Amino acid sequence: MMSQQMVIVGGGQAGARAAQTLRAQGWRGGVVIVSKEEHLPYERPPLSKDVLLNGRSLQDCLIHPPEFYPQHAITLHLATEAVMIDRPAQRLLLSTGEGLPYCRLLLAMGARPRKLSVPGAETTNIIHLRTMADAMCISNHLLALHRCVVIGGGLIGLEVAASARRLGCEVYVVEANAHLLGRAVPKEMADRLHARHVEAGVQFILGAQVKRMERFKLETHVHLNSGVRLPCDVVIAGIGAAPITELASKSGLAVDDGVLVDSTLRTEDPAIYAAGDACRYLDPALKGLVRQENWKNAEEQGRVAARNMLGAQESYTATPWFWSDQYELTLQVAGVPSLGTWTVERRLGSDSFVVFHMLEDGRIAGVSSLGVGNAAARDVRLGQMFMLQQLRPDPVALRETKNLKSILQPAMH
Amino acid sequence: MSRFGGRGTVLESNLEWVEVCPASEIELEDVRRFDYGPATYAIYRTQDGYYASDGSCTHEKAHLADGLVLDDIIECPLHNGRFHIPTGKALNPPVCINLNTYPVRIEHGILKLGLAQTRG
Repeated sequence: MMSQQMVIVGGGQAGARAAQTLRAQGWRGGVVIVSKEEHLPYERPPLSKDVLLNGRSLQDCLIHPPEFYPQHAITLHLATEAVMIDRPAQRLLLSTGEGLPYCRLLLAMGARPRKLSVPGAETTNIIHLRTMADAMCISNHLLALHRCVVIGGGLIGLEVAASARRLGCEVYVVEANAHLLGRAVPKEMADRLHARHVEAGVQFILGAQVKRMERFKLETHVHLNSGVRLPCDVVIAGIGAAPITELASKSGLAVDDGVLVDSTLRTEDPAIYAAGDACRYLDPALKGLVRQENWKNAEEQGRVAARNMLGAQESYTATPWFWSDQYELTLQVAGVPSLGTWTVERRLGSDSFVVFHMLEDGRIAGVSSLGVGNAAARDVRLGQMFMLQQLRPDPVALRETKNLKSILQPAMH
Repeated sequence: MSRFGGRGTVLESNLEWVEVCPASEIELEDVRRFDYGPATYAIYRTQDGYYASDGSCTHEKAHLADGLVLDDIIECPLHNGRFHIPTGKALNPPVCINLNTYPVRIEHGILKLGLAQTRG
């Protein structure tokens, strides 16, 4: 007899939201979450910010309160690894030896940080930031020590650098590229953030490769290719993440930089779905395979996958959207700015601005903003609506209209 | 009928009516922040009139006055969580805790917020 149980591998944003959605949609059978971590599902965005800066606790980061799970009859297998999927029998085998029968299985394992592989790295205490345990570890070091080398000038690296600087550490950021934040963040924004970090006293070494590391009793030396040596107390690496796909590949599912799924987030096996950072899906709008690593994507895919596991045939079409908080500034990027060929800049007071990245035909490819707190949030949100509705707003209005919403009004919602 | 939510029954006579701003200063389908004492509020104007709620989102504490009003819904600027303005009801994840709402009234063109007198 077919099992009446939904099984979710991964207790992150996508997994926890999927479990909730299954119940909200009225599913009465079993719901099980299998998570490698020992903690209840928690939100990751605060890890590089509030957890480091303000000692925010696990309790304050939980996606659902502890009582939510028993109340909704959601079973949690924490600190448990899923080791194999017996697809013909529709059973998930766990590290505990147990087998969980499933009618639908959701793979939401997330991603793991890429490790720096240079001589000496294995004996150096390089901290990668992904989990609450990592954040706690970094937090302890930043309190006690004073010289911090951050390897990688991406979002995570810069958020950690900002937090470390605010805690009074001496901070070096080593980045392989000639500029910060890579391709995903428009240059206007990256330059402004760079300047803000310099103003805060962060020291940057750009276009630099780490050659090797040396660990001494009281300090670590980071050696760069240029011959520069950085003595420090703590090394934090933020050099990207890779999807966790071993379970899928050894169970015979197609994997290519992520678990491959169609636009409904279903794998080639009709009983198995994927969502979140580990999922590479066919995007109908972009007409290609896309893998996103951000909170919003995990959140939305968790919901869509859950509904589709219950029989809906929803396509997942979300424009990418992420944000980053550094010092008093918030960066937001929505859509795909790099596809734009010209820009319209909208200033919001002296501290905040929004850039619309335009396609030749006048539609918007992406919106980015940098501002104090949430000053630009509303305009970015409206930009997302323009994109969704494929509008061709008047560039002068985009730049100057006091209330951007008035452009949208006639075609609202 | 007064519009109360979240705080249970509050007698009209126990309310302190605090001046917010001239009602006309808030545009239609807009929201503004109002700070009073240690607390912060969001004051809304929809097609149906004026409303008030706690200012901070119940998810990550972003101020809702930076958010977007869509009909009778306020969308948080941080993660797009949505609340029903008249009732404060949380409508979609990531928000799941409702907002407290407060009564408002207009006297001589001035918008006033009704707060329970024995606070804190």
